[in-house]
Amino acid sequence: MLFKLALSGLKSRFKDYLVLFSGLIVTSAIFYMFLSLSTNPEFLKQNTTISIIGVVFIIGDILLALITLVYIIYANSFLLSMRQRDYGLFMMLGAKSSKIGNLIFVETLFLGILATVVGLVIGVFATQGVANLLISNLSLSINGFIGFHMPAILWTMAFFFVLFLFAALFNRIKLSVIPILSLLKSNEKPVKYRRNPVLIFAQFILGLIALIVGYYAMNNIMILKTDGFWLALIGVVVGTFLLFKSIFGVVIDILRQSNRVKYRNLNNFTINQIKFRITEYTRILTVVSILFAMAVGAITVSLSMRTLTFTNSENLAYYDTAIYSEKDSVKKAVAKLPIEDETTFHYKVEGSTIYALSDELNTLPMKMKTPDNKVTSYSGDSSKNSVNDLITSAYNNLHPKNELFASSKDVNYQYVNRSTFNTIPVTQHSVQLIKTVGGIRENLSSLNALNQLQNATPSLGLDVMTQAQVGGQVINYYQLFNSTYSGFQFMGIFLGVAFLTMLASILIFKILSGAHQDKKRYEMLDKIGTRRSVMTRSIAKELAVLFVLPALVGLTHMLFGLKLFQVTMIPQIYGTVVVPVTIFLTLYFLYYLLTFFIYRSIVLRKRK
Amino acid sequence: MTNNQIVKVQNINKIYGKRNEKKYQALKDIDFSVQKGEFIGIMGASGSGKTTLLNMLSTLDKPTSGHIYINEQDITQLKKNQMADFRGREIGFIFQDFNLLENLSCRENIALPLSLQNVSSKEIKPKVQKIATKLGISQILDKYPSEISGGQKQRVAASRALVHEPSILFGDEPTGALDSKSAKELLNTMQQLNEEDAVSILMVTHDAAAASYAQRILFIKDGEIHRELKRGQNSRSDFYQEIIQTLGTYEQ
Repeated sequence: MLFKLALSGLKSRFKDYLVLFSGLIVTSAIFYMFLSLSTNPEFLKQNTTISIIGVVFIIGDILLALITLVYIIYANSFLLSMRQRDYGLFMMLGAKSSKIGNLIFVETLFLGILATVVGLVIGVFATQGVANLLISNLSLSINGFIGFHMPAILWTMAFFFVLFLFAALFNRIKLSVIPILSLLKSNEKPVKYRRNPVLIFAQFILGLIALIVGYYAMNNIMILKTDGFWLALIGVVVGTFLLFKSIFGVVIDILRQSNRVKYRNLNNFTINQIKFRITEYTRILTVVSILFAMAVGAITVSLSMRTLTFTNSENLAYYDTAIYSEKDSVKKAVAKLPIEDETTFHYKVEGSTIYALSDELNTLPMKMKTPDNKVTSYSGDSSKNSVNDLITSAYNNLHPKNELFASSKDVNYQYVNRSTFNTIPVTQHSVQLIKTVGGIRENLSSLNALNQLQNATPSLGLDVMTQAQVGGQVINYYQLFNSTYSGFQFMGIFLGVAFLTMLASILIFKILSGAHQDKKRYEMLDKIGTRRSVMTRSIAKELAVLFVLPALVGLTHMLFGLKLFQVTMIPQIYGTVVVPVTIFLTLYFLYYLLTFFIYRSIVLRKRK
Repeated sequence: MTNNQIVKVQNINKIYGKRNEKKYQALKDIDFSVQKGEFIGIMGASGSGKTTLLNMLSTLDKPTSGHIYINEQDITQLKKNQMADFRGREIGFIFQDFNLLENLSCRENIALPLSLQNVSSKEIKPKVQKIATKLGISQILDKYPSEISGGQKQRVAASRALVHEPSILFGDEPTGALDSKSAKELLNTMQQLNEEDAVSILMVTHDAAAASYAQRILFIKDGEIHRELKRGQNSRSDFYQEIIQTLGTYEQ
């Protein structure tokens, strides 16, 4: 009977449950998606040339697990806030508290398991979809990434089961400890407004110091090394928390001093709603602003890695590609390239000896990049080694089965003048070096296609690293870097979006779990003659502040945090910050709108 | 309609229940008026329709048929925003459970109706001070509702209802949540406002003692006005006895 009652309670608040349920589904789907990457050895093996990425993914796992934990805590408090009045009522009607405890235990666990299972199904399809999308849009090279991955499914189920088990236990204990009366009157808790100004000032100063220490550590990460990382993390978290606890309350108090602002429309009400929230929301605003920084940071780093891939490849070679194939399709494709600069070398191969034209080397010098990114020309004998490599690779690709050239050790190079060259009785081959107008940034797809055309036959099982070194041109290096950074980029974007989803959902849950309390206030305002439009505007303003504050603080954190990457990996990172921030803010704004509409539908129910 | 009538209710009916549902008539042909400066009480048992009537009067609900004029304006013809504005300008409302916003201080609560009408902040302050002094709560203006007693809360609520000088003050069981001493003090204050400042008051109650402060009482039973009592020159205690007797006849 009680179970039936509980079920009917669930039905009557279906809309609120839908918010909770879909949030949980998204979380488990995201968790599965990330795990399906990090627990897939095929994927990791195929896409990493350096072992560090395994560690990076483990860090990602831990971060995601932590955030999921925080998320579940807030989702659970939302559930509890919806249910405790109903359960208080059941208890008042004579239901034993142990029975109610069992009920909430079963309800929490059931909701959690159902959400996990649905989330897993969505996760499998979403993984496949997102992978395809990212790979095709960003031309990332990611292999072995499939939707369904059994270990990831098992891990996700285990993790969420444990989380919900704890949540269920927590709810059960909480309900049996709280007296019935406070369950029934959970909406009427008095709120404290007055705070000690000396304490606030101390908090403000401490917070400022912590933040300065954190930012300083991020700025000087090269000197402080690992210690700096921890110092930055602790400094920023503590600083943010104290800042939210002190300064915003003070700003609002200053705002309240102005009678002109205060006594205008619902301003006073709005300001006090915000003030009340900021003291109540200190923890969550801290979490959200840190998550915000991490999410935008992750996306910015990922996108700037793409630029890094370009610049790194461009720095290593002068020519974009080398053409050695004599296929018609290749010639056609070359004809379409906008050529800025090119050189062609001719050679002949007889037995294990390669003959090259010394005249060509002297008159048509081969251009290269120096380590400090300047163009130099090698001519004469000094360039022989690079030309040797070039010709070897060309011949390898032309005759992939020829084992003689699998390694260049046994090859003998001869530089001869034109008349001698002409007397050698074998076919003449050529290597054409091309620099295009606009380089790989403009012609990436056609250069990639050309490379594929030339390598139609697999070349001797060389790995990407050797291929890049042997091929030696920008496009070869690009492919090397792209395969190295793709994993990072993919993970960065993935984690960024996952963080965004969760931080926004955390904020939504926190705001909505207070909505049932706020409802009464809006009913009162309605009774004393407040227009709906005025109340709607007040809600919009109030929620905007709650969204904008953590975004501002998060953006500041992020801008300082990028310094970490600027000095260690990506010098030009600040140049790429605008696009990801814009995309991110757009998504964040959509979340704001969603929260606004749900909240308004709860507090301003339509009158019949 | 003469200029002396502040409220005129003409034949209002209220029927609940949609087309295919079972109908329930909450109000039947209610017809009465309130004179300017009058203190009128409406009594009735639970479910008699007195709250429904008050909701109509305060534009929170609309009658199925009939008209209500307040200050010569037909409030049944108002649109949504006009209704909100009307409530904000013409009506003062005191509720049983105070309905104070607990996140605003008393001063801010009282100032709210003026802020909503965009009265300038310079004018707001003296107006709040004036009404608070009249109701004897000027000492607690900067406290929050959770820091004051029930009686004080209701005085704050009354100040908020009167600060914008409405045409009429509605009370919905204003003494319902108060102890007898606070209730008595509040009713005395209301009577004083009525007599000295000519504030028109319409109060819904089921408490005979509270009702005895009114000059005229309408008894509602099953959605109809059943009887009307006038105090005339009687003392309050005599009037109280009369009310008790009238209520007694209802029992039979």
